[in-house]
Amino acid sequence: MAPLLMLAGTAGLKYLCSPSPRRLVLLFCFIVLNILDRHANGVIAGLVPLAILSLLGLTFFRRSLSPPSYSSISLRSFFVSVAVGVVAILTTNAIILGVCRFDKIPYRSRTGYAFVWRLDFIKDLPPERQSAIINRTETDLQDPALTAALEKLKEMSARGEFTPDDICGALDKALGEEGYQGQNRHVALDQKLNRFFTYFLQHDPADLFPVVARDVEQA
Amino acid sequence: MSFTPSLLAKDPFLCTDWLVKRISEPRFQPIQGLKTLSSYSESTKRYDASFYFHLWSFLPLFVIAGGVVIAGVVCILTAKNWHDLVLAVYSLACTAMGILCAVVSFIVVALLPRLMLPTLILLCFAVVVLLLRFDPRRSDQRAEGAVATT
Repeated sequence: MAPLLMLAGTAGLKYLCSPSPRRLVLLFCFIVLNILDRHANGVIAGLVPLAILSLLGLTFFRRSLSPPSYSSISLRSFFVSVAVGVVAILTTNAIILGVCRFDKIPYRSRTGYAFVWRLDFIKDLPPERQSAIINRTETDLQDPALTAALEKLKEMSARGEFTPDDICGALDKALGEEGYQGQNRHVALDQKLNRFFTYFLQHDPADLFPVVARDVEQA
Repeated sequence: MSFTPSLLAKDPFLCTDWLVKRISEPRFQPIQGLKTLSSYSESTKRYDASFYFHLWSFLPLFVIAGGVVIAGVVCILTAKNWHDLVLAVYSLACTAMGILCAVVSFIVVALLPRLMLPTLILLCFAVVVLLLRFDPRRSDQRAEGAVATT
């Protein structure tokens, strides 16, 4: 991870200092490799666009420091760098889907599964707030398997406990009762947890973001 | 990847410690008799005193991030040419992306020290970018470039 991030950072700096198509291709390759290494490292795609945008803003205020003739920092290069980042993200997803297709395995995002461990903050909320969040999620999602998992979460949170394995276990059991078996069951589990994750981010981020800020601060 | 009972019972193996706490569950009934799973092996304890694992503990990340931001702003204000400005802005962008990376990670999962590795790498890279301003070779190259253009 460390060498790839360093190489992507270096490629971005080289491109900023003297832009060329070759350096842009190099930057594209390192962004792709970084995302393949770890999805969250995809933020590196925003590094060069952010730097160009900041430079454009600064040169507006400090006209004495205008870019040299060989440096083509402009709005056009900003849009080119954004396009490179977007194409890199799309290419990475295409590679992952291609590998899944080649190996004949279904594509599974495990973001929702990882998010179950993030739900530890619910036990620290007031009991009324815990119930309000979980009840509204159950009503909106209308999914019996997810309801079973959320009931488990509610039961644990009320006791001030949190065991993520038990939430996944409850969901897995409910899926088994619905007739899912084998690989389909694993895929369905991930899909349902991803659905819950998406719903939670769209509807209840206000409770989550203070916890995220606290974690960043602690780290 | 398939985990066989013999692999799970290897010491040290992180899954062994994970299993020790859950071995009483019915789903692990087939491997309940394994001797290694009767005690917690503390497979990571040997690294507790390792210098490498505590290399950055004396310097909190927010000190590095804050230092880069202050130094970056100072460098922007005192920049004498385009390259100095690029280096200062790029170091600030690296810091911003490093913090964003941590935020993205912690939206999905709870605090784990290893998730701060990309942030640490980008912050260290930002420091290196700031220090490039004092690279004498780069100054020489710039002077040569200026002579060549005139």
